[in-house]
Amino acid sequence: MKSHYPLVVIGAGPAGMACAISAAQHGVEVAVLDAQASPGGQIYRDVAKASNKKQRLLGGDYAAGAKLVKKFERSNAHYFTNASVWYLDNERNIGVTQDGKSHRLTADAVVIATGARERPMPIPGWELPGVMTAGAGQVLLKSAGVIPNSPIVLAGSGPLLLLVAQQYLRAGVTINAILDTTPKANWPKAKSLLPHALLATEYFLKGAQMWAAIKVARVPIYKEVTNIQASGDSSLKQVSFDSSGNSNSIDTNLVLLHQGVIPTVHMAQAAGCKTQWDDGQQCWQVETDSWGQTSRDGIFSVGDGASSGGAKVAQISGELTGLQCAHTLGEIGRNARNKYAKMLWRYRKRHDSI
Amino acid sequence: MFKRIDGESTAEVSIMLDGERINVPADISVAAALLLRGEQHFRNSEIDSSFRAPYCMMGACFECLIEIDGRKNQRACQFNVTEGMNVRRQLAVPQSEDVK
Repeated sequence: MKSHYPLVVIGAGPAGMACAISAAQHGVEVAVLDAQASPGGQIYRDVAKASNKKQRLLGGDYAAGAKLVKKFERSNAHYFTNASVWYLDNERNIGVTQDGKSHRLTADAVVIATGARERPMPIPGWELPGVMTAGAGQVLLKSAGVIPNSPIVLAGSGPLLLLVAQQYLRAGVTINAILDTTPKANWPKAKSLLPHALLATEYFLKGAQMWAAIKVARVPIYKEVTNIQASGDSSLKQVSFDSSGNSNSIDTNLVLLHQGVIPTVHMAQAAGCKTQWDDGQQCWQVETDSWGQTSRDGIFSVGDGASSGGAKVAQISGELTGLQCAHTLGEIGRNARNKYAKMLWRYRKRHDSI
Repeated sequence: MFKRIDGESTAEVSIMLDGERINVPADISVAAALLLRGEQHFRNSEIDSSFRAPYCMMGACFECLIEIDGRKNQRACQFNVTEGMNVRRQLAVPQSEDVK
């Protein structure tokens, strides 16, 4: 690892990979620091080593990540694995630890692409063994090929919950119930955004397919669920909840919770980048211009770590940020940058509309 | 509680868990390996001694802390098992109960 790179990208999910590929293509010397052992971030976690069976289980979106990973591995980017960044300041000084050894480096431009994490969903008993997140289920499946072998409960709201349900049903896992906490009031609000969202019909189709899989498997779905509690002695035994005015409880030793994902903004905050509270998403986001430039000179933030948009938006945004870095570092002129960016803006608008 | 899907590699490594030699699938995290064995008790909470196990599996929650090769408080979900790895669960209750 050198002590200086023109561009350092932190994170190797879709945004980080796309950014590094794009910048490297335009002649920028770029180092990618990845806390994981292989590229993909969370969404494409371990996609390069995934068996055909696993790819079929996880679905087309996951398998598509393999293409991006291949492109990244073939690029000229210097890729550092098991490299955990623990320091970043507004002058782009970076502290990173790899294999127990600390390194300090500097960069002319830094791109923070550290992604998102699940919105914590504290419920009574959430510290019990057997209470995990939907994302945890995903990691177990993607990285270890591990799935539950006894009936489970899914609880919360959001697309990832449905995706996990669909994948688990495909894998033969029994789902005893889905506890949908989406409040009744949200549906009319969502409907008002419908015309705008129809620009991204494929997302709707995917959502419809997920619901269909759940209906076909006759998984009991409880709506407008509130007051979820997990109980047990040394581990989870039961989940109780209210739904449509009734109290219920279900015996289970595994419940996966989910309330959407939120940007992990710590690194941007540590570097002094401005963040803003987004009321619609109920989370902090990094303030950036449309190229991903934050309020700190030379520091960019892109992908789900800046604001939640999903993998496709992250990839497109990453490529745009890579272009901008190539431009600010003097490798391509403004016209060339704009020429490459034009198509990307259009793609991003479509995916963002959902 | 957990099992492996078909089609995964059958490679294994042997590790020590609390002094006992066990065989686990290679190339998976310590957390996944323990969960696969039905292990639901990774550590005792330092505050109330309750049993704790992984929650997020991605390094954000710090619930899966375990001792690996003599280093305490390692996130079990962040390290893959290696041949001969020495894993110890952190089961000690606070030393200074009376000083609380």
